[in-house]
Amino acid sequence: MKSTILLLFLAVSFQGFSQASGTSTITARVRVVEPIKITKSVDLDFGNVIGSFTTGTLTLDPDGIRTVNGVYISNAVPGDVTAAEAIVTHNNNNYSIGLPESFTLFNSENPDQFLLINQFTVQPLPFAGDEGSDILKIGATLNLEANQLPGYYTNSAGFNVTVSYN
Amino acid sequence: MKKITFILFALIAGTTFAQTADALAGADIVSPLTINQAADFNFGKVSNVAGGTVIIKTDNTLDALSTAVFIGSNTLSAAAFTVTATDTYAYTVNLGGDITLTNQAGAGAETMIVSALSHDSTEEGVPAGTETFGVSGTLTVGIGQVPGYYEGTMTVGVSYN
Repeated sequence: MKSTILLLFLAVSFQGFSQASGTSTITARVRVVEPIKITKSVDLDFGNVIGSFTTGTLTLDPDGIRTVNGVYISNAVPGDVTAAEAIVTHNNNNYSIGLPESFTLFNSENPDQFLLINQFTVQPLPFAGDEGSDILKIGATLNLEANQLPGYYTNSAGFNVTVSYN
Repeated sequence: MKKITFILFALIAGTTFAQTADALAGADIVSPLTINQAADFNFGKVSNVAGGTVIIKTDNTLDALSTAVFIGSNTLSAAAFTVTATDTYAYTVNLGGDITLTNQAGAGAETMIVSALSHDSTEEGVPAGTETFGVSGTLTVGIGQVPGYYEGTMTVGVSYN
């Protein structure tokens, strides 16, 4: 459908440059590109985090490694820890990735309690078996307040990852 | 010139194909461990004639293997601590090393040692949120130990596994 629109535009343009008399020939080339696609495959999960009496951060790398500063993690009970993943179908075109500046998670039992996520990081990797696709792995930093109320924090709205051709 | 215009148009059109995916994010926050003193060690009043050991069990009773001779009636007690932890999270109690008791009337050189410290914590997740555990220990009184009131402190740590 999009290719049809492009061709129509070409035809109209030719009319606009038509001469009073005589003819000329030009070559017009348009490469029609499949739309870029992105599909989420894995959600971002920081796992279990032990709060502290002071502020602290937990950084989850795109490769799933957690690093803490001021807070703690239990090696015996890490919980589910996954960096987010999304599949990008780019058809071998260059593209750019847009990540949110920050995102807020709310305590599922006390919605007035929240956590801020920021410093999103992304690592695009070739998707095995499909040269026209990448797998994006996305991490971020979780910011805990002093004496952060225990509980499960999430946000059903989800955070946006945008891709567009360059 | 026209060609350039068309190519630009095609490139710009590509950017309108931007696509977005939504991902959920979640984190489970666990409260930190806390530990508070619930009871002090009390080894009672002991004779220094023959010295010996005072072994107090976690249930505040004297172990039969104790050899020291008590003076008068004594209320003995083991040390006890209360841990607040999140359910299902096991933890480890660290009792540290021996405790040195110092004669409070002396210059600091007169000491006794409490050794063989042991605790009865389950070190498992606490469904009720708190667990109080006892600490047993063995006080060794020297023959002719300088009389006086001896005191020392112990520091106990807990950490999630």
